[in-house]
Amino acid sequence: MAKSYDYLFKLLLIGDSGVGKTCVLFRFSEDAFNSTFISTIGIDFKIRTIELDGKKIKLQIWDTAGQERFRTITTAYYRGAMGIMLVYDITNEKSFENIKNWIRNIEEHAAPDVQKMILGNKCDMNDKRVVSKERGEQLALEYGIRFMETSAKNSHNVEEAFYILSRDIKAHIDKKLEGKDNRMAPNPNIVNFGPGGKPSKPSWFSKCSIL
Amino acid sequence: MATSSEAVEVKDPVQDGKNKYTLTCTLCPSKILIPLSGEYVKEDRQLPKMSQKKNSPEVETDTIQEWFLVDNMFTFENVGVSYVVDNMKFLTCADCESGPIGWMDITSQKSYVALPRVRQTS
Repeated sequence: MAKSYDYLFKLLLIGDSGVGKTCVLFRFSEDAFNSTFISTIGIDFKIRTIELDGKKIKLQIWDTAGQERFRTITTAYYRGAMGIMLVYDITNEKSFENIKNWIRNIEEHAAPDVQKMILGNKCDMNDKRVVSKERGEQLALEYGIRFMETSAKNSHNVEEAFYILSRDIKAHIDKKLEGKDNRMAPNPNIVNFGPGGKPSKPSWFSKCSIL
Repeated sequence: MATSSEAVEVKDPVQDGKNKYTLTCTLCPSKILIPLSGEYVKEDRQLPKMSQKKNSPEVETDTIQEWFLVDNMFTFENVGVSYVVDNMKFLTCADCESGPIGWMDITSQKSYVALPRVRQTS
Protein backbone atom coordinates (compact mmCIF):
# COMPACT_ATOMS: atom_id res chain seq x y z
CA MET A 1 0.00 0.00 0.00
CA ALA A 2 1.24 3.49 -0.79
CA LYS A 3 2.36 5.56 2.15
CA SER A 4 -0.53 7.65 3.34
CA TYR A 5 1.55 10.57 4.58
CA ASP A 6 4.47 12.75 3.60
CA TYR A 7 6.20 13.29 6.92
CA LEU A 8 6.33 11.60 10.30
CA PHE A 9 7.49 13.63 13.30
CA LYS A 10 8.14 12.34 16.77
CA LEU A 11 7.39 15.01 19.35
CA LEU A 12 7.95 15.03 23.10
CA LEU A 13 6.32 16.96 25.89
CA ILE A 14 8.73 17.81 28.67
CA GLY A 15 8.40 19.74 31.89
CA ASP A 16 7.90 19.32 35.62
CA SER A 17 5.12 17.17 37.02
CA GLY A 18 1.88 19.05 37.44
CA VAL A 19 2.40 21.69 34.76
CA GLY A 20 -0.49 20.31 32.75
CA LYS A 21 1.32 18.46 30.02
CA THR A 22 -1.83 16.42 29.61
CA CYS A 23 -3.56 19.67 28.85
CA VAL A 24 -1.16 20.13 26.02
CA LEU A 25 -1.75 16.55 24.93
CA PHE A 26 -4.89 18.19 23.62
CA ARG A 27 -8.37 17.00 23.66
CA PHE A 28 -11.01 18.02 21.26
CA SER A 29 -13.88 17.60 23.59
CA GLU A 30 -14.58 20.02 26.39
CA ASP A 31 -15.19 17.09 28.65
CA ALA A 32 -12.91 14.17 28.52
CA PHE A 33 -14.78 10.93 28.59
CA ASN A 34 -14.34 9.38 31.96
CA SER A 35 -13.24 5.92 31.04
CA THR A 36 -11.96 4.37 34.22
CA PHE A 37 -10.49 1.53 32.24
CA ILE A 38 -8.36 3.75 30.01
CA SER A 39 -7.39 6.25 32.69
CA THR A 40 -6.20 3.43 34.95
CA ILE A 41 -3.85 2.14 32.27
CA GLY A 42 -2.79 5.53 30.97
CA ILE A 43 -2.06 6.76 27.47
CA ASP A 44 1.43 6.17 26.11
CA PHE A 45 1.29 8.33 22.99
CA LYS A 46 -1.06 9.84 20.47
CA ILE A 47 -1.00 9.97 16.73
CA ARG A 48 -2.24 13.13 15.05
CA THR A 49 -2.59 14.06 11.44
CA ILE A 50 -2.15 17.63 10.31
CA GLU A 51 -1.69 19.30 6.97
CA LEU A 52 1.06 21.81 6.22
CA ASP A 53 1.62 23.33 2.79
CA GLY A 54 -0.51 20.60 1.27
CA LYS A 55 1.59 17.88 2.88
CA LYS A 56 0.14 15.29 5.19
CA ILE A 57 2.09 15.12 8.42
CA LYS A 58 1.75 12.46 11.09
CA LEU A 59 2.68 13.51 14.58
CA GLN A 60 3.49 10.95 17.20
CA ILE A 61 3.35 12.76 20.52
CA TRP A 62 4.77 11.32 23.71
CA ASP A 63 4.30 12.38 27.27
CA THR A 64 7.11 11.68 29.74
CA ALA A 65 5.11 9.07 31.65
CA GLY A 66 6.17 10.44 34.99
CA GLN A 67 9.88 10.05 34.23
CA GLU A 68 10.23 13.75 34.97
CA ARG A 69 9.72 12.98 38.64
CA PHE A 70 13.28 11.71 38.63
CA ARG A 71 14.40 15.13 37.41
CA THR A 72 15.97 13.61 34.39
CA ILE A 73 14.87 11.84 31.31
CA THR A 74 16.83 9.05 29.75
CA THR A 75 18.44 9.02 26.36
CA ALA A 76 16.08 6.29 25.21
CA TYR A 77 13.13 8.61 25.55
CA TYR A 78 14.79 11.25 23.41
CA ARG A 79 15.79 8.82 20.68
CA GLY A 80 14.41 9.91 17.35
CA ALA A 81 12.71 12.98 18.79
CA MET A 82 12.48 15.78 16.24
CA GLY A 83 10.58 18.31 18.27
CA ILE A 84 10.21 19.09 21.96
CA MET A 85 7.59 21.16 23.74
CA LEU A 86 8.99 22.48 27.00
CA VAL A 87 6.06 23.14 29.28
CA TYR A 88 5.88 25.15 32.47
CA ASP A 89 2.97 26.38 34.55
CA ILE A 90 2.60 30.16 34.82
CA THR A 91 1.27 29.72 38.35
CA ASN A 92 4.34 27.75 39.42
CA GLU A 93 7.66 29.62 39.68
CA LYS A 94 9.70 26.46 40.20
CA SER A 95 8.41 24.87 37.02
CA PHE A 96 9.54 27.97 35.12
CA GLU A 97 13.00 27.96 36.69
CA ASN A 98 13.35 24.30 35.83
CA ILE A 99 12.96 24.98 32.12
CA LYS A 100 16.69 25.77 32.09
CA ASN A 101 17.42 22.37 33.62
CA TRP A 102 15.24 20.68 31.07
CA ILE A 103 17.05 22.47 28.27
CA ARG A 104 20.34 21.24 29.71
CA ASN A 105 18.91 17.73 29.86
CA ILE A 106 17.87 18.00 26.23
CA GLU A 107 21.30 19.25 25.20
CA GLU A 108 22.85 16.25 26.89
CA HIS A 109 20.55 13.58 25.55
CA ALA A 110 18.64 14.69 22.47
CA ALA A 111 19.82 15.16 18.91
CA PRO A 112 21.57 18.53 18.57
CA ASP A 113 19.21 19.71 15.86
CA VAL A 114 15.97 18.92 17.70
CA GLN A 115 13.45 21.77 17.34
CA LYS A 116 12.26 23.24 20.62
CA MET A 117 9.49 25.47 21.84
CA ILE A 118 8.64 26.80 25.30
CA LEU A 119 5.01 26.82 26.39
CA GLY A 120 3.79 28.80 29.37
CA ASN A 121 0.71 26.91 30.27
CA LYS A 122 -1.98 28.60 32.27
CA CYS A 123 -4.75 26.09 32.33
CA ASP A 124 -7.43 28.57 33.29
CA MET A 125 -5.70 30.10 36.28
CA ASN A 126 -4.64 33.56 35.17
CA ASP A 127 -5.55 35.04 38.56
CA LYS A 128 -2.87 32.90 40.15
CA ARG A 129 -0.15 33.86 37.69
CA VAL A 130 3.34 34.26 39.16
CA VAL A 131 5.42 34.12 35.97
CA SER A 132 4.85 37.09 33.67
CA LYS A 133 4.62 36.61 29.95
CA GLU A 134 7.65 38.89 29.53
CA ARG A 135 9.83 36.57 31.58
CA GLY A 136 8.78 33.67 29.41
CA GLU A 137 9.60 35.65 26.29
CA GLN A 138 12.94 36.69 27.75
CA LEU A 139 13.90 33.12 28.55
CA ALA A 140 13.02 32.00 25.05
CA LEU A 141 15.08 34.84 23.59
CA GLU A 142 18.04 33.76 25.68
CA TYR A 143 17.97 30.31 24.13
CA GLY A 144 16.86 31.46 20.72
CA ILE A 145 13.76 29.31 20.71
CA ARG A 146 10.09 30.02 20.25
CA PHE A 147 7.66 30.84 22.99
CA MET A 148 3.90 30.84 23.41
CA GLU A 149 1.45 30.99 26.24
CA THR A 150 -1.35 28.49 26.14
CA SER A 151 -4.65 28.49 27.91
CA ALA A 152 -7.55 26.19 28.28
CA LYS A 153 -9.95 28.99 27.47
CA ASN A 154 -8.11 29.91 24.31
CA SER A 155 -7.16 26.40 23.33
CA HIS A 156 -6.45 27.63 19.82
CA ASN A 157 -2.95 28.55 20.96
CA VAL A 158 -2.05 24.99 21.80
CA GLU A 159 -3.05 23.74 18.39
CA GLU A 160 -1.19 26.65 16.86
CA ALA A 161 1.90 25.77 18.87
CA PHE A 162 1.95 22.27 17.40
CA TYR A 163 1.57 23.64 13.90
CA ILE A 164 4.44 26.06 14.47
CA LEU A 165 6.74 23.40 15.89
CA SER A 166 5.83 21.06 13.04
CA ARG A 167 6.50 23.80 10.51
CA ASP A 168 9.96 24.35 12.03
CA ILE A 169 10.75 20.65 11.85
CA LYS A 170 9.54 20.44 8.27
CA ALA A 171 11.58 23.48 7.24
CA HIS A 172 14.62 21.99 8.95
CA ILE A 173 14.21 18.64 7.19
CA ASP A 174 13.51 20.23 3.82
CA LYS A 175 16.64 22.31 4.20
CA LYS A 176 18.67 19.22 5.07
CA LEU A 177 17.29 17.40 2.05
CA GLU A 178 18.18 20.26 -0.20
CA GLY A 179 21.69 19.94 1.13
CA LYS A 180 21.85 23.56 2.10
CA ASP A 181 23.89 24.79 5.01
CA ASN A 182 21.83 24.39 8.12
CA ARG A 183 24.28 25.44 10.76
CA MET A 184 22.72 28.87 11.02
CA ALA A 185 21.43 29.79 14.45
CA PRO A 186 17.67 29.69 14.61
CA ASN A 187 15.84 32.96 14.71
CA PRO A 188 14.46 33.78 18.10
CA ASN A 189 10.92 34.16 16.99
CA ILE A 190 8.32 35.00 19.51
CA VAL A 191 4.84 34.16 18.46
CA ASN A 192 1.84 35.75 20.00
CA PHE A 193 -1.70 34.75 19.43
CA GLY A 194 -3.63 36.87 21.84
CA PRO A 195 -7.34 36.98 22.36
CA GLY A 196 -9.02 38.66 19.43
CA GLY A 197 -6.56 37.07 17.06
CA LYS A 198 -7.89 34.40 14.84
CA PRO A 199 -11.41 33.31 15.69
CA SER A 200 -11.24 30.20 17.74
CA LYS A 201 -12.49 27.09 16.04
CA PRO A 202 -13.19 23.70 17.46
CA SER A 203 -9.87 22.40 18.43
CA TRP A 204 -8.28 19.14 19.35
CA PHE A 205 -6.27 20.95 21.96
CA SER A 206 -8.62 21.89 24.66
CA LYS A 207 -9.59 21.50 28.24
CA CYS A 208 -6.91 20.41 30.58
CA SER A 209 -6.42 18.18 33.49
CA ILE A 210 -3.39 18.63 35.63
CA LEU A 211 -0.91 15.81 35.34
CA MET B 1 -8.08 16.62 12.53
CA ALA B 2 -11.66 16.56 13.53
CA THR B 3 -14.27 17.93 11.23
CA SER B 4 -17.99 17.99 11.57
CA SER B 5 -19.55 15.26 9.54
CA GLU B 6 -22.84 13.51 9.15
CA ALA B 7 -23.33 10.01 10.40
CA VAL B 8 -24.42 7.83 7.54
CA GLU B 9 -27.01 5.13 7.46
CA VAL B 10 -24.94 2.05 7.07
CA LYS B 11 -26.20 -0.84 5.01
CA ASP B 12 -22.79 -2.27 4.42
CA PRO B 13 -19.75 -0.87 6.22
CA VAL B 14 -17.42 -2.71 3.87
CA GLN B 15 -16.22 -1.99 0.36
CA ASP B 16 -13.52 -4.06 -1.33
CA GLY B 17 -12.85 -5.72 2.03
CA LYS B 18 -12.15 -2.38 3.69
CA ASN B 19 -13.98 0.29 5.65
CA LYS B 20 -16.26 2.08 3.22
CA TYR B 21 -16.72 5.17 5.40
CA THR B 22 -14.69 7.48 7.57
CA LEU B 23 -14.56 6.15 11.10
CA THR B 24 -15.02 8.70 13.86
CA CYS B 25 -15.40 8.66 17.62
CA THR B 26 -18.90 7.87 18.88
CA LEU B 27 -18.75 10.71 21.43
CA CYS B 28 -16.92 13.52 19.66
CA PRO B 29 -16.08 14.49 16.05
CA SER B 30 -12.53 13.14 16.13
CA LYS B 31 -11.60 11.38 12.90
CA ILE B 32 -9.98 7.99 13.45
CA LEU B 33 -9.60 6.36 10.02
CA ILE B 34 -10.23 7.57 6.49
CA PRO B 35 -12.14 5.30 4.09
CA LEU B 36 -10.49 2.16 2.73
CA SER B 37 -7.66 2.18 5.25
CA GLY B 38 -8.68 -0.74 7.46
CA GLU B 39 -9.17 -4.35 6.42
CA TYR B 40 -12.46 -5.90 7.48
CA VAL B 41 -11.92 -8.88 9.78
CA LYS B 42 -14.48 -11.13 11.44
CA GLU B 43 -13.32 -12.69 14.66
CA ASP B 44 -14.95 -13.08 18.09
CA ARG B 45 -12.87 -11.38 20.72
CA GLN B 46 -13.40 -9.78 24.10
CA LEU B 47 -12.81 -6.06 24.55
CA PRO B 48 -13.19 -4.23 27.89
CA LYS B 49 -16.36 -2.16 28.12
CA MET B 50 -16.00 1.62 27.81
CA SER B 51 -17.77 2.06 31.12
CA GLN B 52 -16.91 -0.24 33.96
CA LYS B 53 -18.98 -0.72 37.08
CA LYS B 54 -17.48 0.79 40.20
CA ASN B 55 -15.49 -1.56 42.40
CA SER B 56 -16.02 -4.42 40.03
CA PRO B 57 -13.32 -6.99 40.80
CA GLU B 58 -13.03 -8.05 37.19
CA VAL B 59 -12.81 -6.10 33.98
CA GLU B 60 -16.17 -6.30 32.19
CA THR B 61 -15.94 -7.05 28.51
CA ASP B 62 -18.07 -7.14 25.37
CA THR B 63 -17.74 -9.72 22.65
CA ILE B 64 -16.81 -7.90 19.47
CA GLN B 65 -17.27 -9.74 16.20
CA GLU B 66 -16.27 -7.22 13.55
CA TRP B 67 -13.00 -5.31 13.31
CA PHE B 68 -11.01 -3.17 10.97
CA LEU B 69 -7.39 -4.27 10.86
CA VAL B 70 -4.74 -1.57 10.44
CA ASP B 71 -1.21 -2.81 9.64
CA ASN B 72 0.66 0.41 10.28
CA MET B 73 -0.38 2.62 13.18
CA PHE B 74 0.54 5.74 11.22
CA THR B 75 -2.39 4.97 8.98
CA PHE B 76 -4.59 6.36 11.73
CA GLU B 77 -5.74 9.94 11.39
CA ASN B 78 -6.00 10.43 15.14
CA VAL B 79 -5.70 7.84 17.85
CA GLY B 80 -4.51 7.43 21.42
CA VAL B 81 -2.49 4.36 22.37
CA SER B 82 -2.37 3.09 25.94
CA TYR B 83 0.46 1.47 27.85
CA VAL B 84 0.92 -2.27 27.52
CA VAL B 85 -1.37 -4.64 29.38
CA ASP B 86 -1.00 -8.39 28.80
CA ASN B 87 0.96 -8.01 25.60
CA MET B 88 -1.50 -5.57 24.06
CA LYS B 89 -2.19 -1.87 23.95
CA PHE B 90 -5.64 -0.35 23.85
CA LEU B 91 -6.76 2.28 21.36
CA THR B 92 -8.70 5.38 22.39
CA CYS B 93 -10.12 8.47 20.80
CA ALA B 94 -7.24 10.94 20.60
CA ASP B 95 -9.50 13.83 21.54
CA CYS B 96 -11.93 12.80 24.26
CA GLU B 97 -9.94 9.71 25.24
CA SER B 98 -12.98 7.47 25.25
CA GLY B 99 -12.22 3.84 24.77
CA PRO B 100 -11.11 1.25 24.30
CA ILE B 101 -12.14 1.53 20.68
CA GLY B 102 -9.82 -1.32 19.76
CA TRP B 103 -6.49 -2.89 20.57
CA MET B 104 -2.97 -3.29 19.22
CA ASP B 105 -0.93 -6.47 19.20
CA ILE B 106 2.49 -5.32 20.38
CA THR B 107 4.29 -8.24 18.75
CA SER B 108 2.88 -7.78 15.27
CA GLN B 109 2.16 -4.04 15.76
CA LYS B 110 -1.18 -4.63 14.07
CA SER B 111 -4.18 -2.66 15.31
CA TYR B 112 -7.80 -3.73 15.40
CA VAL B 113 -10.60 -1.15 15.54
CA ALA B 114 -13.88 -2.47 16.92
CA LEU B 115 -16.64 -1.71 14.45
CA PRO B 116 -19.34 -1.25 17.13
CA ARG B 117 -17.14 1.25 19.01
CA VAL B 118 -16.86 3.77 16.17
CA ARG B 119 -19.24 5.90 14.14
CA GLN B 120 -19.34 5.73 10.37
CA THR B 121 -19.54 9.10 8.71
CA SER B 122 -19.61 10.41 5.19
